[in-house]
Amino acid sequence: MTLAFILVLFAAITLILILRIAVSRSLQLSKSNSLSPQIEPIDIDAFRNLIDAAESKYLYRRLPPGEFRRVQRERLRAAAAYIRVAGRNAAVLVTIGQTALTTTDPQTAEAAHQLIDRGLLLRRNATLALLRIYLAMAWPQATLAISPVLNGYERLSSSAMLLGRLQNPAVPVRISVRP
Amino acid sequence: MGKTLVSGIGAVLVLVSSAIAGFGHGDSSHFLISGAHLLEQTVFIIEAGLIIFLFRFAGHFHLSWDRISFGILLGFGISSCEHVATWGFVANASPSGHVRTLFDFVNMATFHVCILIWFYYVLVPSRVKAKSAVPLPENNLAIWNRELERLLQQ
Repeated sequence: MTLAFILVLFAAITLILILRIAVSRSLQLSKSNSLSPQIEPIDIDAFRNLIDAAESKYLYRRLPPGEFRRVQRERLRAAAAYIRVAGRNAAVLVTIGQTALTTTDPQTAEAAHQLIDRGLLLRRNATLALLRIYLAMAWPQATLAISPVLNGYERLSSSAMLLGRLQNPAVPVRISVRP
Repeated sequence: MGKTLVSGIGAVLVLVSSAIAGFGHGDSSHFLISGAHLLEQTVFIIEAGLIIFLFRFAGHFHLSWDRISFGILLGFGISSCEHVATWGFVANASPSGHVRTLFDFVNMATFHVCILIWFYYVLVPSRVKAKSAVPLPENNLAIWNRELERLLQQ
């Protein structure tokens, strides 16, 4: 009897989730034109500095172990915040790319495909990098391999610029900040 | 990646639903009947699990569904959730004959509702919106040119 109730509960929760997704999908369709304000520019240099292995090694040599762990955790927290923003931007750009796919211009469609591919890759890498960061927070180490996120973000930025340029040559496009 | 994940989740769901069926005691003295009910429960747990995974996966990557695929999956999702509940109850709670008859009606009614959902998504055309290209964020031209130069130098 208990198992029956657990299964009924599981079914009810799953049904609610599915209906919520169906409702949110229809809401997303109605507000797809207000996507670009959702993009947050990222300071690439600050991000690069945070995940720089040489910087971490320097801190490791200079600071006492306890202090190093505290500083490294702070840096990891900041890097995680950057990666979350990069992942969110990638998701928004994937949606923008999907909207642009309907174009009749083959060059724009190709650029949109490229943007979607790079966005999906970055979103996956961002998820994996976040997992690595959370693991590293438990045991802060000198090196952390999350550079694929940075490289992916730069590639995504260039794809977004290309698509933006093709769609509207008069308007420049950037999703990162460089002084 | 998608294929690997779906296969992996499928394997996990098979294991979990088999374990759940293993805990079930069956509702009939005849092993064929109780076995068939447990099999129904197992199949619908796997189906519901895979559908919820597909929705979550597409949601995480912000992938858009085409209208027909979404409608088909929505119908299957609703149908499988209802079937998990009814077969789970039938296979594990040994309900009376009256309740079983009621569940048969509920199963068929849900299936017909799902058919209506599929009809809606297949036959009713989506509203055609005046589509304008979604504008990407703008910035000043000097920064844009600098970025372009950097890319060209790479």
